[in-house]
Amino acid sequence: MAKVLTSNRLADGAVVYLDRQGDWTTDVLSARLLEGDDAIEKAEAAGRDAVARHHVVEAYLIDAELREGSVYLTRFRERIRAQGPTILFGIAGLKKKAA
Amino acid sequence: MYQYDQYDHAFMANRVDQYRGQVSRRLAGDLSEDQFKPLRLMNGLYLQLHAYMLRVAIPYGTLSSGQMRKLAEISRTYDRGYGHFTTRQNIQFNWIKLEQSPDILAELASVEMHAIQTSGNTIRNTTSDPFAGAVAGEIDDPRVWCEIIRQWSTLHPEFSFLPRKFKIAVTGSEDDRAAIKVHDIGLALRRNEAGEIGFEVLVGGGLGRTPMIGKTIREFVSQRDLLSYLEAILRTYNLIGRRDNKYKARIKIMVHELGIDEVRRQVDAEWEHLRDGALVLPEEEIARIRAFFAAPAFETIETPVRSYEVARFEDQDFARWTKTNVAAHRQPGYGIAVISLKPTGGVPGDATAEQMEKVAELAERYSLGEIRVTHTQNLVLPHVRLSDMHSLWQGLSDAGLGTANIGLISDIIACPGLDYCALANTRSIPVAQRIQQRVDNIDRQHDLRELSVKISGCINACGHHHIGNIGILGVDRRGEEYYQITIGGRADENARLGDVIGPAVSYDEVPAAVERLLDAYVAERKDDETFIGTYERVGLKPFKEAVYVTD
Repeated sequence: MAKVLTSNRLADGAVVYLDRQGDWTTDVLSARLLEGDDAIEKAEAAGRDAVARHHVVEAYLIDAELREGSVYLTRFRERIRAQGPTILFGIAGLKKKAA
Repeated sequence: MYQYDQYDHAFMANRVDQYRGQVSRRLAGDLSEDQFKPLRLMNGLYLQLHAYMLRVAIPYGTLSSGQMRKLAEISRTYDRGYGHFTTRQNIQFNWIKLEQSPDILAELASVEMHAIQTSGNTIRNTTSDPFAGAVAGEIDDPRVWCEIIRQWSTLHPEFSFLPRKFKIAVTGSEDDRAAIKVHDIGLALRRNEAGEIGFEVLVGGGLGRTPMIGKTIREFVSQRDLLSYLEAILRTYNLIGRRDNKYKARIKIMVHELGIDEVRRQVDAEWEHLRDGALVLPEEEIARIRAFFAAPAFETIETPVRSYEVARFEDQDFARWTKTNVAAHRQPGYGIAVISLKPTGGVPGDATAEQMEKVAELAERYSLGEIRVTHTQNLVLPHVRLSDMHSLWQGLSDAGLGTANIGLISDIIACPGLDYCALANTRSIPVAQRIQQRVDNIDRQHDLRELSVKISGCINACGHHHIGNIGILGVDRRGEEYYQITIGGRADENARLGDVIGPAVSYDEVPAAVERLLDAYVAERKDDETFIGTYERVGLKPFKEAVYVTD
């Protein structure tokens, strides 16, 4: 199965993914889909480097695949992590209840 | 309320400075995550699913209006404009930035609050009865004892690295609203035959993956001996509690494996060395702490309060709210108002900054500036004149806080679940919302009487599912969300763990399964029996048959 490398940014905790340019993005659709041992090893090295530079907390691989041309995270947990809570919260939640 | 003295203030300022230094060293790369993680956790900062989460202690659930305003301000300035009140009388902010976290702790210190020991293998926030000091028939005010325990347990050098976390709860009433039987130590204020006030001490209760009801280790411990006895329990646990297996490290496992008699023997042996030492509580110190919790100057009010009775007669919605959300106060002419944070379709326990400010304002106007947080994720205004109750309810309703459902089926406890929590297997909040939507008719909810639903998104049981009349536990079944249902649990003085009704059901099936349990209850109940009463009389069978119908 293909993989994506993910982490949390140290300074603000934001969920980030290694992208095609080797940078870290908060947009899962820009994540680099890693296929094959070579691509995975290179990504993991980039992850270790980012941890060593104190940019991210800890990098790890998650399962992913290409669906309709886009990166799709296969685990439910990771999809929630990528998209945020599945429920409305804060003032948005309040407005929904009032509607 | 307790007020910090100069030493408390100096300590807090020092602590914030230390933390600020730790964060700046982490951001500069001088500390690794492995080195830094225990330091941030000691200050309540977790890394959750989406961001850092800060858990702030609300000591024994007591807040002033000023403190509530500060929580609102923090949520607006540093988070996304809301906070989540937890099942341990704390508040969590879900979208915190590490780089701003020292500023938040400084803000908290300015109103005598902190996040110390809201994580880690330490003695956590001591929880208590949210009606303390207000309810009739209390043996003694548990807040006095919670504050004494807080001072003893905060940064206790011997108990900063226990085998596992440690939770203490105290009740001063016969009616247990603090769930003391499912805490590592539960303390119930008691009066002995000589009329002296002391404590029945329970040990080894807890939920999580191995739920246990606490056992009485000592029928009566005097006030003088409270801290030395607690120290003897903690020391015994610290020495012989298991450190080899995280899942067997809580004191409940020690009590279960050794038996309560052997634990008592070892604690007593330890206590012999301690009981006449430095931890003896001097009467003047108890009196000093007690003075902080002196009863406010209540007015003498003639009862019944005519304006209150008239409002209840004229306004049905208000009357319904008073039925569930107002409890009897010890002072004639006053009531205890419970503010529901469980509107249908909301997130159980969440409040926006505006709602927090509204509660602060209403507490100032109607409840002597005092607010309580309940372990059922609601808020309480403890001292409201009955003559003000209608105005209070109108103010609450304007802010979306007037739901009349305390103790009813829609007053659901739910942990944050997979929508926020890194440990969760499944979601909890949308399950609660779907059940609420299914039984949205308020008349029907009242007809279903007192009924607790508690939902946890994983085995760690932050949603207290084991002690819900209906308990729902999320389990991951090959990547799909499934939910195991238990019934018959209860959290009160007759605490009991629920029984599993059968195979887990899917996310989509949960509301219908709950509906069938309700139908079974209504079919089986007699007279004014509640759900738990019916269950205890008829047992599992009719409920099980109702849920797993094959038609």
